[in-house]
This record gives sequence, C-alpha cells and structure tokens, in this order.
Amino acid sequence: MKKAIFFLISVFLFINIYAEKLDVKGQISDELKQIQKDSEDYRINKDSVKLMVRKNGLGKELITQKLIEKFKTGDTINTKTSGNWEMNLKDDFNSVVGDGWDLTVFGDGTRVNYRNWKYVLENKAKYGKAKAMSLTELKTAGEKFIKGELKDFVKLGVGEELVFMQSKYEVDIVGSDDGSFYDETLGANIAYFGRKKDSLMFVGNSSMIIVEFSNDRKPVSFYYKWKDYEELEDQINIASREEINYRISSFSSMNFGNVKNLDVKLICGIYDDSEYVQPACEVKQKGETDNGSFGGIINIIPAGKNHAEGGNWGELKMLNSYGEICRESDITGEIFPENEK
Amino acid sequence: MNKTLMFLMIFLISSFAYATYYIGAKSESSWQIDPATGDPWRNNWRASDVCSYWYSTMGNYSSIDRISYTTLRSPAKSRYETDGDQNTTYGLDGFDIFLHCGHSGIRDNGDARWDLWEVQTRVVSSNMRLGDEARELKLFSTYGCYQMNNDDGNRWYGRWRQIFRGGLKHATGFHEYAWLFGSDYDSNRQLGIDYATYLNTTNKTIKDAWWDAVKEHPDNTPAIGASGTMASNAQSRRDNMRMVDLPNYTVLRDDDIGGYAWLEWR
Repeated sequence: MKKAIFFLISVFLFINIYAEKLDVKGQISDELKQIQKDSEDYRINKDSVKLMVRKNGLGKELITQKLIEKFKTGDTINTKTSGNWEMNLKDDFNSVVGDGWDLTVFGDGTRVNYRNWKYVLENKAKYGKAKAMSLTELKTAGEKFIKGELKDFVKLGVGEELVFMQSKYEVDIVGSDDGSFYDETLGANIAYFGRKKDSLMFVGNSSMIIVEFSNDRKPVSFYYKWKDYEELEDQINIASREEINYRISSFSSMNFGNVKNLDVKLICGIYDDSEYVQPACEVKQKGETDNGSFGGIINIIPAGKNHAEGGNWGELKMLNSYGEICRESDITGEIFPENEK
Repeated sequence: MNKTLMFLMIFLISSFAYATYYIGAKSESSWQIDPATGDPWRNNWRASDVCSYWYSTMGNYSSIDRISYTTLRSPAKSRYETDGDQNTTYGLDGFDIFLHCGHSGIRDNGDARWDLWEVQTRVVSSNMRLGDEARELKLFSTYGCYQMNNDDGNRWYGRWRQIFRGGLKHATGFHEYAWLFGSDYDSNRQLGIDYATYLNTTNKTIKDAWWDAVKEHPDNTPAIGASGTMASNAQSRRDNMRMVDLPNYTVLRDDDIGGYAWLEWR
C-alpha cells in the first residue's frame, strides 16, 4: 500500500516537474516598431529617393570557396567547414556537405544558407531547459556575429545600416500517446535582421540576414540575402500619402468584406524588384477567412510618383496596366467595400 | 540455379523500387464563388506557386518519380480521406511524399482541416489515416495555416493522432500563419524550389529542410511532427529523419505508437 502511494506521488511529481510549457514567443524589436509607426504616420517622409540598380554578385563558385576558407576553423564559433566535404554543383546553386554541416550558395553568390546540425544534435540536450535569449541579447549576439564573421560577405554601403527586426524561437515539444505527459524545451534562438539605406527600410524580404543560436547561445546557422547596389542619377519622386493609400486599398489582396479579424501591418521604404530599387510600402494582411481557416498575404505597393520599369514587380505592372482608378476587385473579381478608400 | 537467379532478380528489382520515391502534390490558388455571397469562399492565395515549383524541382532528381500534381477540386476530398486515399495515382497513400498547398486550419471540435476548392468542402483529420495502403505515405507536408496548431490546450496530438495511426512517419506544416506574396510569384516559387533542394541535400534532415525553406518570411510559424514508440523515440525520429531514410524507419501503427514529438518555430 505504502509502495503504491509512493509510486503515485512520484508520478505526480514527475509530471509536474517536467510538464513545462514554455512562455516564449518571437517579438518585434523597438527599431521595427518605430519604422512601422513612421510608415503609419508618413508613409515615406521624403520628397524623392535616388533610384538604385543591382550589382552582380561575385558568383556562387567564388563565394563558396571564400565561405569554406573563412569558416574552416571553429575555434570561436560553431559554424565551421573543416574536415572532409563534398560539393554538388548545379546551375542554380552549389551545395557543400561536410561532417555535420551543410552550405548552399545560390545564384550569383548573394543568397547563402549554412547550418551546423551536428553541433546542435550533440549539445542541445545539455542545455535543455536553458532560458531564451531576450531581444537585447539576440540583437547584440547577432550584430557581433554579422559584423565579425560575415563582414566579408555582408557589406554595408554608404548610408546603410543593419536593423534588428525580430526574434523567433524553436520550441521542442514531446507528449505521450495517452496525453498524460507533456513537455516543452527551448531548441534555438533566432534573430532576424534587415537593412536600411538613408533611413529607408528594404521591404519585401529584399535584403535580410537570419542568425540562429542553439540553446547554449552559440551561433549554429546563418542565412543571408544581400546584394550590393549602385545609385543612379535618376530620382523617383514620392507619391502623396493619399495616392499611396489609394494604391494600398486597390492592390492589397485581402481587401475582401469577408475576412474576420483582419490585421494589417505596414512598412514603407525601398524594394528590390529584381532589377531596380525604388520606393514601396509592404502591406502584410492576415485574418480568418472562415471559422478556423486563416491566411497571410504580403503585397508590395509602389510608392513613387514615377517608376523605373523592367523588374519583376506584380503590383507595379497592375498599376501600369490598369491605372489608379481601378481597384483589384475590378481586375480579379475580388470583392472590395466601395465605401473604403 | 534458376530459383537463385530469380531470387536475385526480384531482390534487385525491389531494391531499385525502394530507391525511388513516389511524390505527389495538390494545390489551389483561387476558390469557387459561393452563390450565397457572390464571393470566392476563400480569398485568393497563390499557394500553387509553391507546390508547382516543388513538384517540378523534385523531378530533377533521379530518385524521384512524379506521380501526379492536381488541383483541390472534386474528387480531391476522397483522395485524402480513408475511403479513397489508397488510389495509386491520386490518393495520398499512392505517394511516399506529398505536399499540399492551400488554405487550411482547425475546427472547433479539434480536427485539423484542409480546405478544398468547392464551397464548404474540407478534408478533416478525423477522417484521415495515412501510411497503411498502397505506397504507404511517409512524409506529409502542408504549405497552409494553422493545421498543426496547439494553442487550444495541447491538442496537437489529438488533431494528428488519427492520421499517424496509419503509419505516417513525419509531417511538416504550420502551427499558425503561413505567408505568401500576393504578386511576387518568383519569391513564392523559390520556397517550393528550396524545399525540394534541401530535401535532396545529403544528410539534411526533413526538419532542417522544412525550416530552411520557409524561414525567409519572418512571420512564418512552421511546425513539424513525428510519432514514436514513446516520446523520446518520436523526438529522435522527428529530429533525425532524412528523405533518404524514410523507407528504413520502422512503420508504427495504432498501438505501436506510444508518443509524439512536434516542434514549433514561434
């Protein structure tokens, strides 16, 4: 009898000690909140922006070589490329796989993904219940990594700044089939960085860096999409706030009458449309399209009075084809409330 | 002698068969107009950009046999649910690996749901049992929202238990929002291309292939899950399984399963 009671108490204690739900969720940085506020207030608080054009990268072959050389030792970071590795050369990317790590270099070498998965697998159990890194800690550690280890690959031009955007966390969850056991553990801390040029944010995922830290706070993965740009003499004049608002209402995909709890986030800045960089507003809309069914859509709205054409920018093509008197509802058959503008 | 030769031939043929993965995909970007409202019953969402380019990129690899890529129109519902999932051309169990791209979510009763093209037509998890017929689906991925949600009180395993009890080994999806561009088709397509590329990268796990493919949208909230004989076994299967390993991991059905492991990027 005593044994049975002891057993039940042990099970109760075990479940209560280990059944931990982690209170971690990614957060937006203060810097990004300020950019969102400025975008809400002014859209773009400038009269004009210099048009920029993409510069070609050094090529995936050269960047692959340089990255392997740079990270061949893992003395200070856990992103190493030492040991035996094999390379798979494709038209669109190079894939390098080593002992516990992989590196993919895309296109002209300006998009790169690296991950050391072996270190994570071997070490994460040791730090299972580690505390998540705060926004400040992620910003500091991320900047240190980018400015130290990626400085030869991710270069800031004149008037450019790195912007810490947000945190994200990997949470490992286990449970028994009968539901009696449940546990959550921190797996990784993730920092997202963006880029500003003359105080204007690159929007639409044009330029970004993601640095991932395992739960012992060591960098184990990075991803970047980072091109160099050249300013042209041409100026793009910024459209009025009213004009931009009208375009937002015309070309935002979720302007239906039937989306519940529609949440709209706006960031205005500049956008790399695959050829030029010119003014734009990123509109993120999410909501419930039916009870229990959801969707999230991003539209990139042209914010210039004039534009450079030639890139691959759907909303700009719609604007040029249909003008500002049409709404997307007229073009695609989507419904848009007529009393809204 | 003849028997030995025949055995060797059968062995060789079966080896080749196992080295090839049958894949399938289904997607939809626009939805049927609801006569009651005059609106599409779901807002347009360019999910087909992801599925179509994943499907075509997977075809670049010699170990992949592309079986079918179709829309979410009738009779799609039966292809997901137990009454028709064994169809060897269109049913989910007719593939080893399957990708769904389109709106999805959860129901009040705890089910995960995948919305189909026809008005008010949905696939629900309580009608699904995958991995027990035909090719025995091993990896089920969804580019869509909320189908792996767990916010309403540890109900992930309730949503997915019925599906995994057929023997499915790994699932990837989203616990909250999946984002797409409204008009930047190239970026949407790149997601599908990257997922195919990473799945075929030597030694890359399914977990890392999914996360690395979808992480560029900062607001994406992906998730993955696996079953196991107990929680720790499920954890190991979830974290270590690679595309190349899919046939080698033990099939766990019904009472073989003692635990689940899932993972959320929040």
